Amino acid sequence: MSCSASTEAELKVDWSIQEEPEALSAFEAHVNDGGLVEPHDWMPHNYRAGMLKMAEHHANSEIVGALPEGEWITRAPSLRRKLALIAKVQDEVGHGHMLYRVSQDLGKPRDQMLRDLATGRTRYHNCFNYPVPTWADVVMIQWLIDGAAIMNQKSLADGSYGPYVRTMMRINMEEAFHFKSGEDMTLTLASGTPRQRTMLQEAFDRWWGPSLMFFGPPDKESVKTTPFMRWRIKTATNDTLRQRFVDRFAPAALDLGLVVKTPRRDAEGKVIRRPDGFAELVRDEALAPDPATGNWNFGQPDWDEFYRVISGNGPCNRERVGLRRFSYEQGLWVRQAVLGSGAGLPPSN
Amino acid sequence: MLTRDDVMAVLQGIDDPEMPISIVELGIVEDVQLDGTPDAAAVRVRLLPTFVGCPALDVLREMVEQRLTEAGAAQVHVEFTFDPPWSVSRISEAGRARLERFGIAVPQRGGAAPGSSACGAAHPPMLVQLGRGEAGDVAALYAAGAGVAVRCPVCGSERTALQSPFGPTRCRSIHYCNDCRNAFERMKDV
Repeated sequence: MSCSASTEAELKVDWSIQEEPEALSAFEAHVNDGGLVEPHDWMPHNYRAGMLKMAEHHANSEIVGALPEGEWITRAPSLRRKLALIAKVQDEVGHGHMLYRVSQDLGKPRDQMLRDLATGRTRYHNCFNYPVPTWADVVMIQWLIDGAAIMNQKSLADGSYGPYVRTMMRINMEEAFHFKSGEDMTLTLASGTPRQRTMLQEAFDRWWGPSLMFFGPPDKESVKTTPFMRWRIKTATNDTLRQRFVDRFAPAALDLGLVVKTPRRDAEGKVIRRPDGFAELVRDEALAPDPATGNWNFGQPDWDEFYRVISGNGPCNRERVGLRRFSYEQGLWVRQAVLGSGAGLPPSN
Repeated sequence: MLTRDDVMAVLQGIDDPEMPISIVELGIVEDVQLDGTPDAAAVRVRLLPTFVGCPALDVLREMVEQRLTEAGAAQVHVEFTFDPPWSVSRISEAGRARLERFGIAVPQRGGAAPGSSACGAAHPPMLVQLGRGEAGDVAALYAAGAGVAVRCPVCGSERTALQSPFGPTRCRSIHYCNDCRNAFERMKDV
């Protein structure tokens, strides 16, 4: 496969494209009945493009997510934790590998995906643009972020694209294992010395907001009727998943003696920021189960921060993409030696 | 009073933490011994890790201790041993079927196949191929080197190719089916 520009252009979501009505209605009936879509099947252009975007984003997130954790392997506090962290990083890279394979079949060459990641053209989960300054941050990634990932991926395992769903079943089982180990590490810190508990609270403060943002921006009015929901590329909206996450993790955090915080706001509801640009945090007074629904009420994160970070101006965006790019360039000679001289062009801006 | 059969039934109900297969079906239960008084059984379980450095051992130990204690054992002692070494030939037929349904292929027999390296992955004769200087499909090279037809657990085709000798876990490699176009995994042939 070549990396022509036309391939890239063909795969953008484009709602002006008119599908053949009979094929489209047969496709929608099949998906609506719970049927799976296989790579050889006919599918609407925007199904292919939307599915590719999601699977590629997922693959990118697995690869980039391994970077901050990889940095902590040499600094893990015990041999047992080190072993578990090495295995987790290997898991994630393996997941990335399988997901790039799934994405490739939707029509984008792997080398192009790796190049787009290394040059910042495509994205990965925004939470990996935050720093991981202490071991407790590693623990919070493995508890909160992996917990959020499980919420999200459980919903994706009910999706409609066969190869993605099958891969997701295996990935979910491994994520559940990471999460269990994350829970264990969280408990160790929560029942540790005052210094360990302080370290845990500080890391929790850094990761609660990004965990809420993990599910993406608040739902627009139209979200439930978009074709992506109808085609089961997504099976739950951002706000639905975020609520599930809070219902599960807010009580768990309180049980551990943690204080759940939210951005401080002025009388008009505007977020008050520290000199470094991040929100000042105060105890989330809204945090309580709603008597009527049983769902937990909670304070929204700083959405301006979300848009700032996702557009490339977060604390670690340059570092993460830079490391990916370094590794892509350093591996060039290996790809050329194995695949021939035409393969694996250096990334171009 | 627990019998050996009771203990085996409890162990049969414990799944591997990363795969939907019982630890008995996976063949990692090497030996069970009971002693103690008639009222209070002390159980000793010997388990075989699939790979050195397996991160799941602590979880396995906890699960075995907890479930056997709930079943009435007064004392549970879990021991890990590499003697005899675990091999895929220890996976039961029922276990194979469960793994296949989950998208993980299992080689028919264990034991080092010709061309296997010490880490269990079959490597292609890469150096010979490199000299030709032509652009080839690295997956095809791997498949040629492995020299075995790997059956796709999704559609049953044997037109499959090794994608990477290193999967999400060290005991698995990643493969791809050229017919149904699914990525799948395979237990390494050790």
